[in-house]
Amino acid sequence: MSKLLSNSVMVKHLIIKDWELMKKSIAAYMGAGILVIGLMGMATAFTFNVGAILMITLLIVIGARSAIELVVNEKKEQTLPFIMSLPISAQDYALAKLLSNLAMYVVPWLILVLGMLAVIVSTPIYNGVIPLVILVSAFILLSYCCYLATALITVSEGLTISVMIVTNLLINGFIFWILRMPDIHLSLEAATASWNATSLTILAGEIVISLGILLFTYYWQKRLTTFL
Amino acid sequence: MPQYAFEMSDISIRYPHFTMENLNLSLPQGQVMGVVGVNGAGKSTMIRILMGLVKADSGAVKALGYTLPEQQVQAKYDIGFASDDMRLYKGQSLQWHMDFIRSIYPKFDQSYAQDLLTRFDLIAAQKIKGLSHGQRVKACLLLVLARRPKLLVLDEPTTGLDPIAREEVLSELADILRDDERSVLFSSHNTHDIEKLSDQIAFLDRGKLLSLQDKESYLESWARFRCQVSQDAQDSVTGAVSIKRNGQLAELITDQYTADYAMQLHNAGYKVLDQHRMSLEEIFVANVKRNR
Repeated sequence: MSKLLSNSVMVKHLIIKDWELMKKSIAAYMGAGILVIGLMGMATAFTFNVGAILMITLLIVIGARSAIELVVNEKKEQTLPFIMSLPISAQDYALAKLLSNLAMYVVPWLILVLGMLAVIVSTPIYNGVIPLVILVSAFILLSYCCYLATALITVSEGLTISVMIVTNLLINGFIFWILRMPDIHLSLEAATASWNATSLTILAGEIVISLGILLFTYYWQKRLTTFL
Repeated sequence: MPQYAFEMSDISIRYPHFTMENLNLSLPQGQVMGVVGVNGAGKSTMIRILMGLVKADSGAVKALGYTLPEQQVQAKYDIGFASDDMRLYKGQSLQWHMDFIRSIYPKFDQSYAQDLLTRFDLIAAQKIKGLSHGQRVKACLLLVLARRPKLLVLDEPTTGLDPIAREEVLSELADILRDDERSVLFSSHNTHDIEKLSDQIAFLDRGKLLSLQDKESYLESWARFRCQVSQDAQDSVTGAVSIKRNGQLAELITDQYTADYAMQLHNAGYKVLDQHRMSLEEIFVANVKRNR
């Protein structure tokens, strides 16, 4: 760890550089997120459901954009040689990419999820949907970790997009799967959020798998000795 | 004992369709070395190994006293690297790139960067996507040169440039390279570019270093002769790199030219009809053919 952080100044420069490249897009996505949260806040079943679909789409788009723009395009658009010429090692580069991507996805993800939760608790929408919203949001985060890891390890546009497609298709399957569980669907219209063993186990599984993927990526990148 | 800007010792690397074996190359400080090779000769591989971007299977690399790739972070503060496949962020301006580089390199010379903007006829506020290929190359060079690197490594800096842009880049480089403190390694498949700028010239082909000499030594030691061949002429002549016979006539190339070489040929049964010195390109081609 100490070796990986030995060039922390340059890692910071690279993260700031990635932020500079992405900040306009992130601002636009956050603006769209606020509109979607506003739509959900109208608190009718129709607007809430439409808003939920739009929010899932938005969270997927933000993740896909950052992974493609900051990792895959660096190689595809040949800006990687420019970055490689800077005083960094392959490990510094990999660490900076992992941290900047996480920061640029997890922060907007967290803001949007908290925004949705705020809408739910402050409007007549049943608070019983909170576990479902969190489980689906966590699954989207898990999907992001999968294709971010693919992008960082393979730097392949084709493979990254393939993993994106597969994980995004799985989101529908995941929603149908958990909605068929009595512990989940029977509490959807409850006045308060009902966390039970089933929902907590699924959430724990999502967190553990996400962290496992990130740790695997971190250790894989740590082995890098050269850029190419 | 000479101080070297870089030393590559016994470098070997093997790819499925390319092998570099036991490459030895070093550059004394303050010198300009040009590496000539056809596409696929191993120039970029050699430079990437030198920059610590690729790890050789075996051998040792030192640049400015640092061992690479292990100490590449420290080394790269004093090494400026630009390559023909290097691109800048197209959505950002040149000024954004200058600010980014200045935030990293304490020695970034702002006034020199402004001077280079004028000399290269670039506009700092212009976005990279609006630049021509020649302007992008100049922008990359500006970002590298304004760092004031002790060692400048340029991989095919003039590839793809139109004749005017090439001339502008070469003339600016020639001006910049007058700095005796700075060592430069640059590669090209264009011998004219190499000839204009280099003190030493290395010929590389299929991962092997064919030859390394200063420019004058090449030009002085290589010559081409057109000869009439006598009946009792020898099949081989000392110092001849190639002999192409066509009936009674022969074209002979030597890399051991001296004032009395014509007499040596005469004694071997070759009557010299005319002789002329060779260009660096001709010398390179003859060198490659001899070693293939």
